[in-house]
Amino acid sequence: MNDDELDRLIRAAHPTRTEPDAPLTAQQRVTLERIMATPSNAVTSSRRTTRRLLIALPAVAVVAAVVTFVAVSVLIPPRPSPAAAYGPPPLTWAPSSKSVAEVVAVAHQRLASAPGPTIALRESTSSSWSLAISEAGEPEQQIAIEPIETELTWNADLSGRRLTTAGKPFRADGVTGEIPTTDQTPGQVLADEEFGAGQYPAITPDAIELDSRGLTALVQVYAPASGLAGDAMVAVEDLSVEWTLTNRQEGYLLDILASYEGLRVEGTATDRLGRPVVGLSAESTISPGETFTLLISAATGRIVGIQVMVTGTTAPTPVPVGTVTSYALWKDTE
Amino acid sequence: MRMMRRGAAIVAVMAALLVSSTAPAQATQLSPEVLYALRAEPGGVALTPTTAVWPALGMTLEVQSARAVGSCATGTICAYSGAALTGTRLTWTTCGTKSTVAISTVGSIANARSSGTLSARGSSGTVYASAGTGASANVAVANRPLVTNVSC
Repeated sequence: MNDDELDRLIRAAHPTRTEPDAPLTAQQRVTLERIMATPSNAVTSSRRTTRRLLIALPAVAVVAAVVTFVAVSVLIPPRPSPAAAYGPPPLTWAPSSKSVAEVVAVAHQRLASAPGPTIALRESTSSSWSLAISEAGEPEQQIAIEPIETELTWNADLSGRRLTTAGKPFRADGVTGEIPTTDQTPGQVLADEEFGAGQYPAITPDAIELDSRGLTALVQVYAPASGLAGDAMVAVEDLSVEWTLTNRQEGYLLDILASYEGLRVEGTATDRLGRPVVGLSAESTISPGETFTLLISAATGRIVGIQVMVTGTTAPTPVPVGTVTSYALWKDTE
Repeated sequence: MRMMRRGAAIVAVMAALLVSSTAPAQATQLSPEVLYALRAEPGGVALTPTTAVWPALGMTLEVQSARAVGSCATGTICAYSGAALTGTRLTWTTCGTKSTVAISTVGSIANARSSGTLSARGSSGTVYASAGTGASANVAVANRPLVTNVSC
């Protein structure tokens, strides 16, 4: 660019007439782009050029400010809100002095008088949420947690129906203020799947007759060693996502869990459906770096939920330690 | 995808449809299968984004519509860390071989695309679960840590 061209560009921009906050005109944008497209080494080092540049310095400063603003606002992708998080607030636990054995004993007392099916039902109703990871492999930050409601009913011939609807959104961990509008409205049908005979992909096709021995054998498939309490919880979760067990079977499962080492009492809390629960936690080898917390209803003694949280650096999901990556809450019988 | 031949009587009806269904704007809404078939076999006309007819041939092409599978949105494929579409979810909008390294285990997969089969595979190519169009599948617990990718 020579001096004449620079003069012409500065005149074309009329920098002194531009209001500080006024948007760029189309002509100004064209001018700006032409300036940005010109290599800097095209400016000569002659005195004349230097003098003209000094005269034009205020105008150049304005142009530079505009360039900086455009670069910052357009070229740099917007950062997520500092308040955004990867998951919901973790449950808040009140410490409990009870041992695992004592928690299970209390649950048995509740189960003895709580309502429940007389035979295991091939159905499960849940409210759940899980962390989504994008195509680029990045976990998605969010301001609002959008749970889903799932109603599953199926039959011995593996026919059935699974209805998935949007739940009521709530704030992600650390987010304050109003919950932003989400794409989904509560109750909106997200998926309505009908399964013909043989089509439902059951994890455990038949649990109706499973007694203590049968359930023990099943859990041991997931957790063959006594130190794998977290893996045993995965077995409980797999049962609960498609079965509503009898109270007796729920009691068997609690006894089986209590037989594993490494199980600890997390305390008492109110779950995300407002129910009082007791938490039993353990790490899982199936999902390294994650802690599974099973929620036992303080009212009925039934297993009513699970929360998975990243608690170690060995977790493959790139989220901060302490992030809840998923939870599921199953319908209680009371 | 299903093809079937119909009687000659349908030709007259289809001829009328030919006149009104060739708006260029509609082409962007057609399913890839219908679009491919219309290009490959001249003389066809789209009735819906998933249905096309060839009046001269008495042929109809019907593509099964994509549908959401649980929390796996329409048109995508998903892998979940837990069984029965639970746990952390990986989502892709295109087919291919996709690494599942971002989750330690794959407990289930869902195929919400309109065609093709989705497979959960190990590093040696062993298939541990397969889900057809609009379906999901669980991976046996012993195999969950062995899945390294999904492919469709």
